[in-house]
Amino acid sequence: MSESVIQIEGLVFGYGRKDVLCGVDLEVPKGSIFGFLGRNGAGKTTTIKTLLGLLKPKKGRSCVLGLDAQTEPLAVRKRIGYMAEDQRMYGWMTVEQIIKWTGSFYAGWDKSFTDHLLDVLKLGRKEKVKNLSKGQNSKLALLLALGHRPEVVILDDPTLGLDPIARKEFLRYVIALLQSNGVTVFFSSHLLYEIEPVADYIAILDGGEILRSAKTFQLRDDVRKFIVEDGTKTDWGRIDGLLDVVVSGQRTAITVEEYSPEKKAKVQSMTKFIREVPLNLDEIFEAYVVGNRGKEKV
Amino acid sequence: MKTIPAIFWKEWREQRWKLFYGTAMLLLFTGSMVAARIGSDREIIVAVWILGGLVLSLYSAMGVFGPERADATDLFYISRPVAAWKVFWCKWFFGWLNFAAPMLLCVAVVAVLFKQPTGDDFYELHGTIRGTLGMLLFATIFYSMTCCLAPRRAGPAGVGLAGLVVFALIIMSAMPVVFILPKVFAGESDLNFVQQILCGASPYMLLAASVNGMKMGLWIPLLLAEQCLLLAAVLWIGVRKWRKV
Repeated sequence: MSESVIQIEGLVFGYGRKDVLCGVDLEVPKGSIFGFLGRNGAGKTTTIKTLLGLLKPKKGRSCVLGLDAQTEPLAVRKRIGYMAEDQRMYGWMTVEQIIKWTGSFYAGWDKSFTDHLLDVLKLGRKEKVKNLSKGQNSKLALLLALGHRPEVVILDDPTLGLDPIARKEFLRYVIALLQSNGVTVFFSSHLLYEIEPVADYIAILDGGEILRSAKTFQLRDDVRKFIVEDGTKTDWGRIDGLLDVVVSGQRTAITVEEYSPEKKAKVQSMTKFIREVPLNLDEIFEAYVVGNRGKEKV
Repeated sequence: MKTIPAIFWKEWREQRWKLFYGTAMLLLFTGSMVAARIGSDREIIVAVWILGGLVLSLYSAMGVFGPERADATDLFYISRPVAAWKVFWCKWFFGWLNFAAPMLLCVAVVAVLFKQPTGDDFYELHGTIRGTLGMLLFATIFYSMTCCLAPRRAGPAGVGLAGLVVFALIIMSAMPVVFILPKVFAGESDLNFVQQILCGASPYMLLAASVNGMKMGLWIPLLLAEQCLLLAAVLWIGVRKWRKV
């Protein structure tokens, strides 16, 4: 991997005795759009909050731009842009006021850039925050996260609660605004189709652990599904990297990671092979998160 | 706008109406009592103390951190690059101002109105000042305990409920002192039961009581130190809670 702007090592965090994060390791390369995938409650927001220095982990460390988030949280927050999931802001402020107020916390606030963003995002300066639609609220939250021209932008499920059209429009803005400037984007979501077209890298988090972290194209190439005939009596546990086995009537679908022609040959030698199916990210995610690792299901 | 002025600006914009309403209501109430001559001078001042020190301080505590938690705007605020303790102090200060300013203003108005002795009712100026300060300090502790010890995610109503619990606990914890006080005063005092409870609830009230010529010896500095420690501990808990998301 190239130079990392976010490094998480052995992160363990829990509320009381229950651990939410159980040793998370992650590296986010500079200039990438990094999709952080996980179901609701997987620990995405908790991971992000430790990156901001808002939560203190039991073990491990998280660094952003070389700064330890636990010991230098303010220095970290000065250099990153953060947009929380369903970000609530002060309804009584006008758009203009909240921009000015937020800008007062950052030495490098770029007023001309925020003015430009206001026009691009079509937000009314005198509009009260409480009168904004969900989509406009998200755009304003994005603007506030970008106003100081951060090197890293952390977006925590930014499209939560938006309708499909608003979601697409929002993502279009995110990509247009960030990709051209070489900003690193760390983007968490539970919506696969949202991440797939935009992310260079993807990490899958489940049960407080990173199940897989790879380049998006690599992940697509790496995970395959084989359809075989009646594989109920076959010992699929002999295949390395087995993610899921689904028996459906006379056919069995086997999903494996670390695909190679040798692995395909091995499957072919075990039972009657029908075909090989490439998977989309949605299916890959499902295989990692709910895959039965050989314990058959119908 | 720089960081501290920005925090002050936000708090002022959010709290100013509570300050105006609180001041107007307390002045109106005091004015009505004075005009109707419902009570003696002393009783009117005590009413201002109780309303300002208990009711308004509870109302102020409900509006400091509770709305921010209830509206879930706290994460947006905390995730800015600003030290949590700075935000905490600004919020605490504006909440404090909401009951302290009306109370001081009303007492000042009453003191001016009653500056001429009107017989036995006249409440001596020194006593008024000491009593007001005593009640203000008690209210400060009550207000701080209410907003800092309330459950972290409690909204305004939850904080209000916590305030009532805090008040009940203060009174309960004062009970043993109530039994000790008569011995302490050793017959030098003619404090009634309510005054004894108030003295027990907050030793600052002893400052007021001491005007009547009681000799408290070491009790006052000891109780003052105890209250200062209590306040420091409560505020420390408050900052830690505010920092959490």
